[in-house]
Amino acid sequence: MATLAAFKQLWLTPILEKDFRITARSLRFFLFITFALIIGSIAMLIGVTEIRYTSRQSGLDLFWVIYIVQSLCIALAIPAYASGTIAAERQQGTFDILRITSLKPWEIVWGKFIAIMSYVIVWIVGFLPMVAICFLYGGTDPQWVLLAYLHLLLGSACAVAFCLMLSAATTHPIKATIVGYIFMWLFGFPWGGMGVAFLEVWTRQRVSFPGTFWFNYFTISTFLGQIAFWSFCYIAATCLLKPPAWNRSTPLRIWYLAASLLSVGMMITIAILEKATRDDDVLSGFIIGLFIPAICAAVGFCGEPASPHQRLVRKTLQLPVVFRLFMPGRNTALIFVPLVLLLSILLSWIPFRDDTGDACFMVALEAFVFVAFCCVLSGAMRSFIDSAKSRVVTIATLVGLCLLPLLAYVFEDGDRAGIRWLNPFLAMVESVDSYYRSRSEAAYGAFLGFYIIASIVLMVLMVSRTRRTLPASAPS
Amino acid sequence: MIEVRNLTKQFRNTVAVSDISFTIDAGEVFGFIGPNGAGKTTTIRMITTLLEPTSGTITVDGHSVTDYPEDVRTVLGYMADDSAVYEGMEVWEYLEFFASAYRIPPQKRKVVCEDVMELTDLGGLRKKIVSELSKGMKQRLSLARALVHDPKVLVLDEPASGLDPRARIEFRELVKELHAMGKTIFISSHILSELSDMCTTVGIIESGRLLVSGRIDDILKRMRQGTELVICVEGPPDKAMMLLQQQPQVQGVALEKGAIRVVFDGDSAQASALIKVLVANDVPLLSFQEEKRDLESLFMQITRGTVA
Repeated sequence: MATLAAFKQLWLTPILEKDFRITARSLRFFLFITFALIIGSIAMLIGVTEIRYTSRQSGLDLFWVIYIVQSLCIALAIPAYASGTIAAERQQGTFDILRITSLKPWEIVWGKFIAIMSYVIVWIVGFLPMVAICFLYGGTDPQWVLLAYLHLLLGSACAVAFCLMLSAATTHPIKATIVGYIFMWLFGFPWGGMGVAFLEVWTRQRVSFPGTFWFNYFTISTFLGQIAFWSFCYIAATCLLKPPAWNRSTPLRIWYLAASLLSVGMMITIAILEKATRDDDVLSGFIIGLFIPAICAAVGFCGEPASPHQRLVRKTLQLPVVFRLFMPGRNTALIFVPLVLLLSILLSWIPFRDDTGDACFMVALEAFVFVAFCCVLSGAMRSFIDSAKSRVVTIATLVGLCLLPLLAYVFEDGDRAGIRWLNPFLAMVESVDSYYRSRSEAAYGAFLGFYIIASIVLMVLMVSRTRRTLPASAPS
Repeated sequence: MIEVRNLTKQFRNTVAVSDISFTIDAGEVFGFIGPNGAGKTTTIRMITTLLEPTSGTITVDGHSVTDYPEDVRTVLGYMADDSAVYEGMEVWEYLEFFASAYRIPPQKRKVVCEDVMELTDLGGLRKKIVSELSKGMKQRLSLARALVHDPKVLVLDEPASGLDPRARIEFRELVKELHAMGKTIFISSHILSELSDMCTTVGIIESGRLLVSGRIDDILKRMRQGTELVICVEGPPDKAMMLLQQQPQVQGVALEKGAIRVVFDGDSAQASALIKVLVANDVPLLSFQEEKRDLESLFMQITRGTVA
């Protein structure tokens, strides 16, 4: 029982509960998820115009559309949520009252990390009904899908930890957010591949999504690199919350040394792996490992030494010597790190195969339906904390959503007749699909119009509900 | 309960707090007074483990703030001057969050939150969103938050700033109630009249240096170079002033707004003798009283208006 309680305490931290309450009630949370779904729908509308769904490969191609869109949306959302979270608390003065509680710095960072990862999971789950559709059209392997989501989760975890580190290093949330976006999109980590895919789409003026080739990059070494990167960012964020040399039992220098050793160890491991396997894929893991000392150096320079006479000693102990020599000041560090990141993008350039898949125009229509669906999901999430009833409904909804792709895969039988009972939306889609097949453009247009209008009405209802539940501004 | 020894804080080239020492006994209400930029908040932040001292030691309930900050945090409640709160939460949720952050077991949290809400008179606002509270209510909420783990020491940094007169009076009564409960209270404020009502001991800081600290009466005694007497007479004061100047205990005589102000260096018997002299010389005496000095006059006398 004690172990269970400790496990529960580790995941359900007070910070998670607090952040989730505040964020889930905000209009921004609702708008973000709605925006993501709308973007997804529009992207698919544009993207699938050239895709035919005659091929058995079409499901996989559709999955890639969804996966790339949601990855980009998550990449867009993470800096907005994570980069400012600690800095904003510092600016508002709430961070001091948090620090004098019994919560330790690592717990604060962990709580914030878990809270933001919860949002990421909500966004991922919000897209799952679309993933279910992909299975219906065949060609999608559940193993690949799971691997892709594992990659996305790990990448998101790294990005969140990195943005938290930025947030811990400054008192200006706007600055932290801007730097977070710059790093995220310049580095392209972990979405560099997505960017390349889109670039390819853009330059060739036609849809071209990677097929199975993409999955080859989800290697153990990449995961190791990501875990190392996450560990470093997490430790650094924790260190930055401590006043320098404040807690005598865990001196700052020990944390930095541990992080540096971890990064160096990881780099060596990846290098050995590369040599042993002669596999080019480990390169991406190696590149990720390469950044750890660079970020380490930047963080070291962002940390304020306690007093001038201790500065040199602390820098000597905290930073790898080679980086200290190259970076005499904070500004230099801020220039150097993006340059290294840019180099990484060039190194990690991955030529994608021109594997144009086939897909179905109907997916775009379904996406609009899911926009409306996610409005409801968002509303449920917002009231998650407040009532036990909505908590049950929300959990059941989320579990149901997670089961959808699995059930779709199990029941996928070519003619899709057996899965209609799974989702009323799918049944409707089938009807529309049959019209589409018979070239009944007018009926198709009517259905499309109906779904769009229904989505808009639902969205308007949710916005008005959100406004009603939002707290009024404080009286002057 | 709080012991500060040779505390210094230096920010690059600025010495914010310079070698200050004072002691606050358990159950005292200590008023920390000083002009803006004197180093009050810096001192408070060091006591509350939020800032590292450059040198010197601070112990709170026997725990060193530099060596055992976690232990200090468990016995210390802190309320900042800006009453920073999480706006998007309900009052109840806010307190419950801090109760869990102070590791109060879940089964006790409800009782604890009820108790502090009752103490701070927030019971009727439990479901209210924090952003909807008035400034005074937010201050109460901050105090409730600082009390949620039942600390022995309360550190209040400018708690009454920005409050209307009613809220100030209510807050003052709340502090008195907490004092009666046996809490040691460290309070900094600019409103000296309020501090003199609440505080048992004070410390006056200016330019990072502690000018004086101790019980208000003791400080007044120490600062007193001579009693100031205010004498009113019927008719022209010339004769009375001449007589007073001839007395050996009288250090100075001045006329101010029709009253004679006398700097007198003597005890009560000698003051009585002074009255006798005036009466014996047919001075029509209307009143004869000792000028009472308060915290405000003491503050003005001690400080010079400089900042660190």
